[in-house]
Amino acid sequence: MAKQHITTTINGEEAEYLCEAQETLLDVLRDQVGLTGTKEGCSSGDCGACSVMLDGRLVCSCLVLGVEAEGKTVETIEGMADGEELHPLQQKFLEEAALQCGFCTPGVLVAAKALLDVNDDPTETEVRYWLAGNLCRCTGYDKIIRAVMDTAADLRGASA
Amino acid sequence: MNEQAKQFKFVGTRPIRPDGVDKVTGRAMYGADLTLPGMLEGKVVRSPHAHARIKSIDTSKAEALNGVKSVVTAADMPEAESKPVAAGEAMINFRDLAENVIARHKVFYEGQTVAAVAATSNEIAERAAALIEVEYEVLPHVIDVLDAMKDDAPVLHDHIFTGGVTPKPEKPSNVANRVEFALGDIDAGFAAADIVIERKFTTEPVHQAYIEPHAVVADMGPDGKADVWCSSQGHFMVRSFCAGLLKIEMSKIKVSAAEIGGGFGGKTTVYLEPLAIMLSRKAGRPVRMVMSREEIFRASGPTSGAAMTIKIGATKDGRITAGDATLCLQAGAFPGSPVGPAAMTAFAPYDLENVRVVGFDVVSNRPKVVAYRAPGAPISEYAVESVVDELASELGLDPIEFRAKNGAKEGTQAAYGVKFGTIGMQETLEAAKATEHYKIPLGPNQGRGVATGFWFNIGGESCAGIRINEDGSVSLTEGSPDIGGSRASMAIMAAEVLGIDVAKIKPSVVDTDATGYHFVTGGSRVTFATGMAVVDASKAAIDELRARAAKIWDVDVDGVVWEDGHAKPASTNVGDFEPMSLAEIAAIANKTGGPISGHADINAKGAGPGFGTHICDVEVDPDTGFVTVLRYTAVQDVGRAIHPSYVEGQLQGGAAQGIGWALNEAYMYDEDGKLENAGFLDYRVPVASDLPMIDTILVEIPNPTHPFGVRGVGEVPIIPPLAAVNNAVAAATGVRFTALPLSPPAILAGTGAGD
Amino acid sequence: MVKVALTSGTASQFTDGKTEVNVTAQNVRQMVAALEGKFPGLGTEIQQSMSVAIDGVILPDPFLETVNEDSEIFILPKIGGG
Ligand code: FES
Ligand code: FES
Repeated sequence: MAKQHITTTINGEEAEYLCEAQETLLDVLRDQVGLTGTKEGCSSGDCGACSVMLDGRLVCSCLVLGVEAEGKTVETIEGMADGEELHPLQQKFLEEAALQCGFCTPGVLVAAKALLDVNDDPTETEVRYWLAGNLCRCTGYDKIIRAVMDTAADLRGASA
Repeated sequence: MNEQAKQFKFVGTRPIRPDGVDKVTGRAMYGADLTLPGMLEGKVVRSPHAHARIKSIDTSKAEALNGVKSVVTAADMPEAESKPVAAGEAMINFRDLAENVIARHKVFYEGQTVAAVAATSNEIAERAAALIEVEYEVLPHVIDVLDAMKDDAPVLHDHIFTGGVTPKPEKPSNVANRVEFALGDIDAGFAAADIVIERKFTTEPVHQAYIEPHAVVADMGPDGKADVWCSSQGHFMVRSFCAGLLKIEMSKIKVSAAEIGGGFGGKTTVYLEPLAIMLSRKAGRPVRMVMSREEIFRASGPTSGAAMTIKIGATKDGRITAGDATLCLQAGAFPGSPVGPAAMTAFAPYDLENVRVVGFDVVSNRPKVVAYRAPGAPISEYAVESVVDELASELGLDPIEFRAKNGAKEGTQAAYGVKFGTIGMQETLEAAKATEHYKIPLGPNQGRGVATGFWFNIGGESCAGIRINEDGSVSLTEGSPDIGGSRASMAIMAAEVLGIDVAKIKPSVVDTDATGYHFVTGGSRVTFATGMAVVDASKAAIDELRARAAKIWDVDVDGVVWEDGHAKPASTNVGDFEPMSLAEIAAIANKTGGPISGHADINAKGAGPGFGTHICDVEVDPDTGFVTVLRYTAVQDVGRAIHPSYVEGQLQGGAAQGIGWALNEAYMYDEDGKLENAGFLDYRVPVASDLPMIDTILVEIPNPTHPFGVRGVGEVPIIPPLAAVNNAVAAATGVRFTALPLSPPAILAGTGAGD
Repeated sequence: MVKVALTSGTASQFTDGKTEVNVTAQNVRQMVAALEGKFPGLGTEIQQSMSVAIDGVILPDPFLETVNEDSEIFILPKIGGG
């Protein structure tokens, strides 16, 4: 089958790739674009390791086709830090040891940032339900939830 | 020599882990993240049957497909000999390992590998796999452990005769082995009891469910040398298993440890690695293989399911007089369930005079079990801790006090014979009792459960190298794959001994060519054993630094001491010298004898046993049977917490896995012996909204054999949750459940509310 | 003489059910050799797939450790872990 030529914006930069009609955005990001920070844990939409933002919406990139990104903007974990300047969530995750193996971390961070973008003062329950699609087998979630809430508090403090 | 008495500068602090930035920015390279030029993608053909004879395999159509570069079946693999090898938990037979990697004459479970192919793309490899024609003669199968033990059960292996029984059996059996541990006289013990409770329990197999799939990239050149990159709990294990299975010299296989996305015991053996090497050898190109989540469920892990009978007697005043347990553990398709450790740990938290544990290792048509955190212990201790709890409540005693009264102490002889040294069982009970949590009043339909857990912890082979660089920074090398932040702990221990800032030390997990043999990252051994090697290597480097200072000052080396990262004269008699820092000595190392380093290659002994006590509060919805965990506290004797955040993380993660085991997780089979829930949608691991915060209390009773007092911490925390949840549900509902998982339908059936 | 305790499973396979045997040995290597001499197969079994616990410390790969009359010696299955 002929590959399709896709033009899109990934982490603020224009990007082009060729992809087969059935290829997922996850496979395209990892295999064609070379952005392996987005992880595959299940390829069925159940683990959230592949979370990215597509036109500002949080999606599982394993459930999106590569061709669907045509003309849209994609944000991945690789675009979260500003050069050497980590995003406050990334910094907080390090300080509070909110990762062990780190495999779920890119997806969790992308999802957590999406939460803080729409809710700067989430309750514990809100954070838990928002991240319910991001499986972590290592941490028991405790430190993840705390890190997200502490980051939110810091950001509110900074903007107050 | 012992550092324990000193005040610590870095041990017990919480610096940012050295691999942290890579992991929060997506730069860290895991198993599937490596791409090599010309790399092929490999796929596996798996058995659709639970039990069948392989009549023929025809690979010609697959080989003819454009883009297919190599195909491998058992015919391409050397025949493996029958010999025992350590495989992360129990011993397994090398021939079984070979058959588990790729089936030869028979398939023993749905999902077992029968062939593998490599092609220029995933899509072509998948099409090729579908073109491989395997003719099977389907055989009767058996899934359940008790069914498999019956006389008329289909026998999986003609060469298995039950071991550990006399006289030697004449008929082959699915019962591979019988173990027994006994102490005292249980009949007399039960005779002395005022109350005896006997219950039968079952648990289901559960999967380790690491989020990162098994993944490998192998590249074998025409010179017969292989480079392997993979996610495992031991790249030396991968080297030794691949070398043995493929009959290649170890020095010709170099294995590099990718970052590993969780293992929990499930990555202590090989599945894809030998296949990838063979595919690469035949194709002459690098090959990458990655398991799908479905393949992970069908063909890797899990740990055993079990059927158990527990009988415990006690006097009215709360003294346990005897304990008796029979444990039947599923091994999966090949022998080697963790029934040995299950039997040894069953009553280990208690000081009992009369105890007997009998265990059976039983094969059936399921994937071969592999280690899962404290293999065997969560299963047997769940059953024992449930009966202990019932006894306490029948006797009207506080469950913590009842445990303390019977709990193991220094000098207690465990059922498996060994006498405990310094242990913290009693201290964890005291700390649990003192928590606020234990006093919070409960509402209707709520209940509180307590349980304890014991795990041996292990030592084993580890190596470490400390290289002092010319600018005074330090490169630390070791070979234990880092799953949960162990590089941070290694750097902390080296900094503490060397007396320099932890930020000056860069720890790396290096490949199998660059350091000596390491046992797998498992058994909670890394911070203990590899940590011991790091301490020894740091001390060796200090000896060299002192020798260099002695040369510079022209004094005897005995006249130089090492303090706070500086060489100093031992006394004013030695001379009046300005202390020299590590960096100052390093800067002129070329003039005093060349580069400075320290190395240690050890087999660590004396891992301190670990005990934990957990408290769990639940609420059970009487209409739906749904169990909500309201509060959770995990208390554990950790010896000494090197980096407390990651120790807490081990407790929290283990507790969450144990809660999943108790409430949700199970393998479910249909009548044909096929797994029905091979995905995260139907095999439900706990998600964030299922759990409360998990409070931790780190009790520190230092392990006297470790320079900083470290005990392993990773395994104990998965043990108590099963019974803690079960006991909490009993308190909430008034019903003693004896089967896991405690799913809503099971709860409703037990409480009668579903009728 | 040192006293060696065996689990009954191991014992029934090699020692006709005896769970305690005495051998003359000064270290583990000699002890294992003596056990093999008395009960053919037992020494090999210990070396390949068992641990030895001496005075409360479990040793997965024992060989040169000294043993004496007061040592508490148990032969156990090997323990790994996840
Ligand atoms: S890989 Fe997309 S949700 Fe798991
Ligand atoms: S840190 Fe390992 S899965 Fe989350």
